Amino acid sequence: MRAIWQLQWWQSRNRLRKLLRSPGWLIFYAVMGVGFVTLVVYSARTSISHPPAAGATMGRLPFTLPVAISLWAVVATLMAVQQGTKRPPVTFELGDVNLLLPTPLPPRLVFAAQFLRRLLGHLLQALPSLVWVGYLLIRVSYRIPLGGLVGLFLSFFLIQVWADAVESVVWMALYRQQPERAAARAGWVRNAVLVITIVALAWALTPLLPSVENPAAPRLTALSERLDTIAAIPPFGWFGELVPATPGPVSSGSGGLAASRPAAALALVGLIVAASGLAVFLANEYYEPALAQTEVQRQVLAAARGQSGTAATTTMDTQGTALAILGGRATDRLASIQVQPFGQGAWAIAWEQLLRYLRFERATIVYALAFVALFGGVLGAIVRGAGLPPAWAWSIPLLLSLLNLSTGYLGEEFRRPEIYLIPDPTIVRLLAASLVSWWDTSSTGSLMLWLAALVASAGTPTFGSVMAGTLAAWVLLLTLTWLTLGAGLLSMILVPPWLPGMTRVLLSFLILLPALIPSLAVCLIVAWQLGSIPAGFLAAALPTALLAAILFAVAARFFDRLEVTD
Amino acid sequence: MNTPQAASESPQVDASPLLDVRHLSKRFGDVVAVNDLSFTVAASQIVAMLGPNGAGKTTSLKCIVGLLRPQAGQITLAGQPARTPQARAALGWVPEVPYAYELLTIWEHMQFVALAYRLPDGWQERAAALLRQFDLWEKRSSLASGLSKGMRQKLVICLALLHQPRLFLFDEPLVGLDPPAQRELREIILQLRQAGAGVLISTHMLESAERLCDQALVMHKGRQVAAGSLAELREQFHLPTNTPLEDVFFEAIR
Repeated sequence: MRAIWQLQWWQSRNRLRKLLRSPGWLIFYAVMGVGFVTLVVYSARTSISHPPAAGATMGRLPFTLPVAISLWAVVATLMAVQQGTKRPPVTFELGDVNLLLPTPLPPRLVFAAQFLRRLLGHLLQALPSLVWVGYLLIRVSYRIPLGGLVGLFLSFFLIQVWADAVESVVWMALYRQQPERAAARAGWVRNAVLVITIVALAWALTPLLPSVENPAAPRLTALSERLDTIAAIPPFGWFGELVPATPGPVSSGSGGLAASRPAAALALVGLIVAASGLAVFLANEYYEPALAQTEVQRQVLAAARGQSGTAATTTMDTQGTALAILGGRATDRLASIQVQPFGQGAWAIAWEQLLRYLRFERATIVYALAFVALFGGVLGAIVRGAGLPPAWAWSIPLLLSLLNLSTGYLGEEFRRPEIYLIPDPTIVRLLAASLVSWWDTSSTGSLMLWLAALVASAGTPTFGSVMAGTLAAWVLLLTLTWLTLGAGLLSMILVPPWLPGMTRVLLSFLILLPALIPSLAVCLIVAWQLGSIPAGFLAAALPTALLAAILFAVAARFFDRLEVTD
Repeated sequence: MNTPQAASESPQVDASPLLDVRHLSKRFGDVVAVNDLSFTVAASQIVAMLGPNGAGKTTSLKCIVGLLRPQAGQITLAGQPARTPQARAALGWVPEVPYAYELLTIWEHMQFVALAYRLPDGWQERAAALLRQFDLWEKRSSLASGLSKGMRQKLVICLALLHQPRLFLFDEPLVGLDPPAQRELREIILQLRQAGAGVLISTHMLESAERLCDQALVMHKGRQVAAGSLAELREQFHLPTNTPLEDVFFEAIR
């Protein structure tokens, strides 16, 4: 046991020493520390001057804080079960494989040590979450007394530990069996999670559907009641009870459950200890599946990113026949998609990217689409249920498209020789290398936009006009994606590789924000003059496309300055 | 040179093999990686495990080390079932890819092994001697992340030697080492044999195998296709007495 603790201590200490030399990390935690102290001072003053506002809703949202915490626990649990079917709860470093696993230390002890290490990590991670959420709650006029702050911290921490324990139990129970049987049962569990999620969502959102008996005003109340019902299911309800402002009828202001809080905390701790103990008990034969799954994930990711060369130096002993075969089976599944070669010169880059994109996305497409569709559907349902104008369903996907500053496949292309060697004009090489990244980001935004608009307006008299407006918003979205890609590309070329990655992100924003001013101005002027937001969107697409072209031209001009680190 | 504990053990150790693998089979889905493999490694014996890529050598080693779960067969280490702590304590493993903990110094690695194997006081001198032998002493305070591949290989070898196991598994131990270190390691392996340890080496370097090993085990497509001393293998394949191991190997996998 002492060997493992000593190992953890040395690693943590040396990691901390390295981090202390990283200014970004220091600044982040300094800001978080100041935020935490400010929050504590604010909470202490609130405790003295105001009693906690029991049952206070969070701004205009149709639920209370305890319900939000409980719903988060529900989501975290479902995600943990789903993750437990495919991702090992233990992560072995390459050093572990060579040095730790062959030792006489029992596998259960190795797992328990990893679990405890993650528990400490959750304690640290709960601090930034507390600061962000605390600040947001204060912004929506939610009072947080000191006791509430402690409860909030406990809820963040215990939800993470609970999810960790659930994931560990699921994975250990599944993969202690032979691989074929484990894979089959993992599929059943994933399907069960999917069905439970769909049924729960459908049941919760049904009140938002319009009907004669269900006029617009009480719809949110009905939704709120259903969310309360889900949140009250034990043990999820116990997480909500950690927060002093306990739910009761919003109008009465009489929470009255503060006395049960320690009992809820104790019950949760007991439950988590029991689940963790079960995971440790099950952890006797897990080295092989843990190593194999980690290796497969790395190989699939490396294959999708075209980094097979670098994968050989970073993977977990790829020489092992076992791992190579398992990885091979995963990549065989990916390889079944074929696309006929198209284009010559630089356009061949677009073909190979498309091939990699389709093969990679096939492995993740169900979950990626489900997530985007869920987000779009919920957005549309909220717009419809709350009676908001359709501009909400258009604007949010447009704003989200601006946040995606990742250069994706385009950035990866710069680590390969072809983009430098193909004898085509630079602008052609950059455009060809950007096509798939553009499609990747714009297609998810498009799905979200169209689905939100469809859910918001289907069956209503304004359906036709909303769809026409969505078309205009979609054209703007396609050009905005090009613009963000151009900003990311230019920042990548201008920022030297030895500067931290955050510098590139900041520069991307600094390029993007002024580039948006003409589009925003045109959009506002046209929308105001014609009295039509879609007309504004359509007009704004033109300057957006023009500025995207300018960014690409400037990037091509400075392409020779690009330095690549790896 | 540090000698393994076997050197001071009673002669009864020699009576039973240090490593006894019987009918080992390992498959991944429909792919059979190792099929009914049986062999032994006795004390004071060096066995070379040979075979082309994908023959099942590393899979077999990983089954012995306990990283993979075999579907069938028994593995006994120093008379104990392979998965018991006592069996693991008797085993030293040098993997092909010499990864160590990036955030530990060389000396902290040695301390970790001493703790993990519950070594009694006195290990520090042995550790220092090993590090000096492999030219790592001056770098004992360096993090592993700053070491070259060759240095990491040396470190992993030192770690495998520190707890003085009775059985050593080497997976391509010479790859990545500079010529002086290669010679050093060859000498160490011979000294280990002299001290009574058993050594199993998986390698593609047939010349080194021929110089070092008492027995050879040739694998192909997961099966054992030949086993024995070089003389026995020559006889098995009706080859002249001076035939090098390389020719015997190609004959075996033909």
